[in-house]
Amino acid sequence: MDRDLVVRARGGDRDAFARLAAAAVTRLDAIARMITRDPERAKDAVQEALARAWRDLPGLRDPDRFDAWLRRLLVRTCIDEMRHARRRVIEVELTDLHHPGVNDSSLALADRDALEHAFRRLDPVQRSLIVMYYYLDLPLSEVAEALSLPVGTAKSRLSRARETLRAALEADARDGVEIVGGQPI
Amino acid sequence: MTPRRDVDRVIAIWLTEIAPEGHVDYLDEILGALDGVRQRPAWASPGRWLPMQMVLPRVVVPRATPYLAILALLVIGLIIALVAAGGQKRLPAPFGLAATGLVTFESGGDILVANADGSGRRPLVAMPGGQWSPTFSRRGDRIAYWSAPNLGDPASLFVADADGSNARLVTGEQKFSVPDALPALSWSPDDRRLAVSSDGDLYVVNADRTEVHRIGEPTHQRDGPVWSPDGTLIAYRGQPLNDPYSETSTWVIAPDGTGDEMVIPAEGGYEIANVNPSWSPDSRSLLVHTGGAYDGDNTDIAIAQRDTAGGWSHRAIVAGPTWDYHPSWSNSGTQFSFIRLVEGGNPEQHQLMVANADGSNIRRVSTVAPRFNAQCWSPDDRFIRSFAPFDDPTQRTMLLIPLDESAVVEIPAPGEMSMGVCSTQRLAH
Repeated sequence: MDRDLVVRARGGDRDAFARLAAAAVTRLDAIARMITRDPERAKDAVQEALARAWRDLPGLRDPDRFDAWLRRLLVRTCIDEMRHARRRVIEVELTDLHHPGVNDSSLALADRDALEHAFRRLDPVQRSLIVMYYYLDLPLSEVAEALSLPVGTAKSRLSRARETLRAALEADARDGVEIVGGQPI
Repeated sequence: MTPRRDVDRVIAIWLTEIAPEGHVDYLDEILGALDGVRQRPAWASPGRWLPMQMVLPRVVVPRATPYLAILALLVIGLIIALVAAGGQKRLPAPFGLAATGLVTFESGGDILVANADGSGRRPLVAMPGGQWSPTFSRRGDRIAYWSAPNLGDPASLFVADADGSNARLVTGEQKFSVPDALPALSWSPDDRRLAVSSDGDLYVVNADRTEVHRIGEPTHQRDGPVWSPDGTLIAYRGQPLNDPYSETSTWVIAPDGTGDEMVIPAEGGYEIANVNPSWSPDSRSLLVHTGGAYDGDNTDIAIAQRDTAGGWSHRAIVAGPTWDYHPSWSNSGTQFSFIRLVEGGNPEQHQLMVANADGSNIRRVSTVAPRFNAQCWSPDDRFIRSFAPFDDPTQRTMLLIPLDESAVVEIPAPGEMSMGVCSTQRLAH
């Protein structure tokens, strides 16, 4: 992140903001897709987050906090997008977002399906917690800050989300045990 | 598959697998959409509203000697005796309805006053340097204001008589860093003390110059004090230390520094919320605007209420898809006003609204658009004072907007300071 660009954008320089946005948009899109599990909704969230960032940038006190601030805006807009969509009762077709290649370190197809379905059952805040903690590898304090939650609350909600995913995996494991002759082997 | 696995590792791997890769092709579309998005103007940024950095080191004010205290008490006693014996001007009660006297405002670094009909506009305090945030005492017989070599510099607090004479420095050598847009001083109900804020700290200042002391432990920032009508509490805007997001909340604290308590929490931060709380005349409730950071972009009017046991609860009293700001109780306590921006409207086109005390019967007061800043009621509750929107500070105009559909009074007030400070002199009926 170029501090000078942030300072210039904060002063109303659209070109500077465009460069900041260009540098961030791929990562923002990835985070939004992972949280929303829907490319169109993710796009809307990224657009809204960048619009808010441009609008509110003059009030950002510390330019060095731009990345964290923008990430926070994005996560909050993702949550808003999902909540508003739920209120409107819009059924979104499940989209296969990515086709990872299967290799030695990849998960079994059944695991991926179990996680995908369990993840979709999480509420927007829990999804955000999972993505920020496990994918972005942020410390819990930053995760909590991004969601405006006390650290203890973030920890307990993350724990519940993790438990949901774990239970899904274990159920999947039980279902996946081969049955031979009526007995598990 | 083994039933016992490292769940954390599996989740991390799965997330890595589903992470999208590749180029985003809609950046131009996003940047194009920004053509319709204006940056918040400078006056609306929290940095402008929240405390500025202290630019001068604090100087500890030595306590005045007992002799000075005794002398001050004698002087006050003498003044009171003279007023009482001379049968001079009767003073109003500190709260509730009163007759309306002079409106005061900053203009070009001076303190000006005018009559409520717009006539008699004249300087009250005109000195070298800058003076701002003029605030009449509760009984209207004195006026406090900040003074500095230049507008916005670290300032000293002065108290003068209501006619501008007999100005006295009440904060000694200490300088205060004062936000220019929101009130940073409030008189106690008995007019003997003032609560002021500077650079995240609250102070109680004796109006007779005998003492300045800080209140509250250094657990968070405190700004924008407003003394309760019953004198028992000071409401203020709280903010975490070193807070990059302007997570503002509403707090109360006793004048002796005890009982520090949050009564309305922040709602996500990064918005000018929980500023300039307004006490009801019975001291049982506070109004502020809250939210606005992320929850659909709207702000609500919240009310915090104190029960008979002293416990606080809060709720939204005006909520919906609108942006509602800066509530202000009427002096009668039967109504409150606020500024509304209807969603999708032009940010410069705010509406002045009034509601009953319970939040019902919300109606627009006037077709005249007020500016986005705190507004206040005249002592007789007949008009609400604000500023007209402006781009050029030399064209700034104060508005006295009547509630009876009579003509709006416009008073030229060129300048940019003290936008949220709107004191009007109270007089006895």
